[in-house]
Amino acid sequence: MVIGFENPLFLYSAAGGTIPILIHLLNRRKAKLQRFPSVEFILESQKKVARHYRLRQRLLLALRVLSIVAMALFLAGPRLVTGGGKGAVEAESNLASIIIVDNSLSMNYSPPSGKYIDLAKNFAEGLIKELTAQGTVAVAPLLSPDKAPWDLTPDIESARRALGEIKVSYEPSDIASTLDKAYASLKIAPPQYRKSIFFITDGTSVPWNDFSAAKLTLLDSSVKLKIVSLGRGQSRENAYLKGVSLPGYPVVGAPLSIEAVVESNSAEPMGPLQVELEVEGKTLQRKVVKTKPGEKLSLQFEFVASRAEPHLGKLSILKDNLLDDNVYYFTIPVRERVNALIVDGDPKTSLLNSETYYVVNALDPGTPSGRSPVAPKVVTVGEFNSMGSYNARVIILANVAELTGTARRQLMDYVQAGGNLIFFLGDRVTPDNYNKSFHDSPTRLLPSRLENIEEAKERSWRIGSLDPNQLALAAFRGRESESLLSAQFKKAFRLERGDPEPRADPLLTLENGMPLLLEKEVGKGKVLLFTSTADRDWNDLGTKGAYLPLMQGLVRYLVRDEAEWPASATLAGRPMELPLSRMGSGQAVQIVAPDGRTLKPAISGEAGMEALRFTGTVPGFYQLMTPSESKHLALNASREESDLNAVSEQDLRNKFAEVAIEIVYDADSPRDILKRKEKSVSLSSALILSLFLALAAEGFIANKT
Amino acid sequence: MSETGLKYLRPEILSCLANSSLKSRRVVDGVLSGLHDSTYHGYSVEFTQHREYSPGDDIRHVDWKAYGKSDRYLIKEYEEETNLKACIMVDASSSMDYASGAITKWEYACYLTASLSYLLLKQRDAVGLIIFSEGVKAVLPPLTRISYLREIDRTLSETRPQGRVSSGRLVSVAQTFAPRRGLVIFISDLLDSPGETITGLKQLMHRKNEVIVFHVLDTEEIEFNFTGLSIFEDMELDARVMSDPLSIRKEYRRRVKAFLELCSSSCRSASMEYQLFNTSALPGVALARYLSSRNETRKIRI
Repeated sequence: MVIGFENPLFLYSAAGGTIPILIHLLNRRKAKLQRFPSVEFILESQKKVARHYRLRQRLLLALRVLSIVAMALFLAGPRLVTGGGKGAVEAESNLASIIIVDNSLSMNYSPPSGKYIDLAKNFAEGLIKELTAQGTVAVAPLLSPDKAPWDLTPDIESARRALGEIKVSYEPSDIASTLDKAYASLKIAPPQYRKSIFFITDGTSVPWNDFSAAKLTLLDSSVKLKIVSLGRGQSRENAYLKGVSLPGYPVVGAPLSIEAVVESNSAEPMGPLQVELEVEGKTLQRKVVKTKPGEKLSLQFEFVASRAEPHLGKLSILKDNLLDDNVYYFTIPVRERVNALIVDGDPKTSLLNSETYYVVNALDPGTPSGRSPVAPKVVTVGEFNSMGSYNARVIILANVAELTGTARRQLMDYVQAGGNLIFFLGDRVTPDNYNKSFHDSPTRLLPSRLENIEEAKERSWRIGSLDPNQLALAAFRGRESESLLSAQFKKAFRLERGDPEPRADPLLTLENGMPLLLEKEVGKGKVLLFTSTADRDWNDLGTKGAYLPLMQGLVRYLVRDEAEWPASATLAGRPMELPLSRMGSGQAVQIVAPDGRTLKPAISGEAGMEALRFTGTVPGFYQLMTPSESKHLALNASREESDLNAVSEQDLRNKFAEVAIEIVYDADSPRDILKRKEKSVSLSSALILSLFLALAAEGFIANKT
Repeated sequence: MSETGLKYLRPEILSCLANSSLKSRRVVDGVLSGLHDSTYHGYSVEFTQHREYSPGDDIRHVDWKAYGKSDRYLIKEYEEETNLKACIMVDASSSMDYASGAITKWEYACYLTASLSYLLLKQRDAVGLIIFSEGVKAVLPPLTRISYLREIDRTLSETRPQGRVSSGRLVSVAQTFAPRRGLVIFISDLLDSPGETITGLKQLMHRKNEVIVFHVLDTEEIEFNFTGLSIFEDMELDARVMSDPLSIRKEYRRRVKAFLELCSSSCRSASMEYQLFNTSALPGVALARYLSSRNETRKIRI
């Protein structure tokens, strides 16, 4: 039996009970001095009434103190919560109960006391045993419960089977929705039944962040809601892999840097932790790390692929209490080196003075491994004109005056088929020739007509603006743009205004408003136009640190795989939608889950724009297969459940606001919890009556002479 | 100082006593003639004057001829009426200095003493004064001249109430200075050993004196209407007591009432007249009422 208070702060006002005592003591000090002829009668009278007087005074004092204390208690809102006590058998029947088992990811947390999901199920087992003896019960998981109403059954075995089917899910939690289903299910129970919901949970705070009682649309105040809190008071230590990034461009033979981010949610230092890199099932590298409380660390791993194909990668933290967030699956899209064919329109004997010197060095800067993602090859105009085919994914024309008609047509076919072209201009380019050859002709490759060469008069131009949202300029989203913006341009081609063909906004623009870099899609390919030179003839961009990332970024942008899979940040347990075109429209697609199950995805959308819809329930690699090809998709568990800090009891009560909840702990047995009749009886009426009686008695005795 | 020129002889009091007289109920022993019955018979007297009839006067002395003429009741006064020797004993202990209102018990007693003295001297009776507390503070032998009032008033004025009454000494003082076959008026609050005091006064009865006890008390001594927690300090003894008057009022009043009844019954049983004077009542009115009642009683007896 416990007395609780709704407004405990008012208990401090009980200290006011000392006021009558203080007044009594002060009054004694303020006694008036009276000269009196003879105190004999006073003494004798006092002797006779002394005992009665003292008793009266003490009684008055006690009543006054009691009144103030009673008022303080009344304001504090006392409630008497009675319990039946352990072992007390409660003869009760006609119970309708719902047991909700939290099966979110955090319930896989496995401290020495046991995995939380197992603890929850054990507790639920105990509840099922007690509740089926007194009525009906339904068991449901928190995540992905069946459609309401759930079947309430007195059959213990049915309830146990339902409990056994509950597994940890990777889906997001929606506590309000599940509770609503519980309330809906209890609605159909007979009205004379006493209804309860038992919600067994570890109480991690993130799922509760979005919860409020206002979201309960089917709330029934006659239903008792009891939250069974697991592992309350235990410290929960968890380190996890927050994410993986592949900052480089994976090519065969070139070392790829894989960055793994490890984060600790523990209040204690953790470690040593072993972090392991696996690629294609083979352990390649292992690192040991220690974390401080709440620390986030970055670990660098290196991988060199020998084949140009997607590789399946996996990073893991070995030995942690919650394993699901210790693993990160990702695909490494290893490609062949990008062949870039560079046509030097003004070859020089000195390489340094050639049109292509800076471009070649930017694309293949001579990395320590000697394996740049791009393999540039320089040819003359004559050589290019005579080429029958291009073994390149990007062709760069550097200050090329003109091409033969055949070469132009071949170039056009190349771009339309998916090849990529970059025009660098210079003094050998004449606007009339270019406009006629590459714009106003069937080989319409130029993004815009050229007008004339503009030369800076007083001082050189700098780049006025760049669009950082452009993928081609992704390297310049931060302070890296400073180097690019410092480049100075003496000359550049002005483009004709009023071009009937609409063009997209330039990727780069000089400060005088002249476009510097434009893009155009031609068929399946892309064309970029740089209105100045590739070398130092008209600008000093080639000497800037930004030149290398600019050139490599442009090439990678042009050659990026349009059918690139979604990033490895894709989450298990969330519905996914993939454009079917990536797999080849019209072909049947099968999905094999990591656990070997075959899934049949749903296909929806208009013809030509169909999309695959499916939900991967577990993390891992999902293989999407058609008769002709196979691709892998990496799904990972959400990291929302990695924060294992529990919501406080007070916060929990605040979230439920006016809804009365009882919070119990798994340390108590289900039987004991059920035996508690949490009769919460308000003592306010008794107190106000006591206060009234005390005041009445005080008034009567005080005025009685 | 009042208009009479005497402190304690106030015109407003005297006006209440204009038609009053104080007659001894006992046979007096005196040479001069006065209002009182005398052991001396057949003594020749002469008519001196008329005075207005006062209730209690002997109707044998009504001048019926004057009545027929004036339609007024007039008493004949004779020159050589037998005189009375009276002695007024006044308590001047510390407790007499108490006042809850405008007048202390001592002042009240002084007013009574002066008024009685005036009355007696007007009656051509002799009046003496004994002021006492622990011992005798002042003694004035009985004399008949009217100018004696000045001396009585002065003696009263010069006295400050102090000390405690010693009943033993009181008795010896009384025996020494009190007259024989006279009238003794004892004015006190009787707070100091009242039983012994009254017993002592009885001694005077043996000397054929009539003893009247004027018991003077302040209204608060009787009613005890104090409020609020108080520390009461005894005016005579070194004693203090803290008390809540409200809580003991009822019991106090009961005890005071019993005390008054004891005093009254003790006096009566000793054949002494007893009169309680509450200082809240005007002295003149209270004294006139007493005298009227006394004379009425005397008349009935006769």
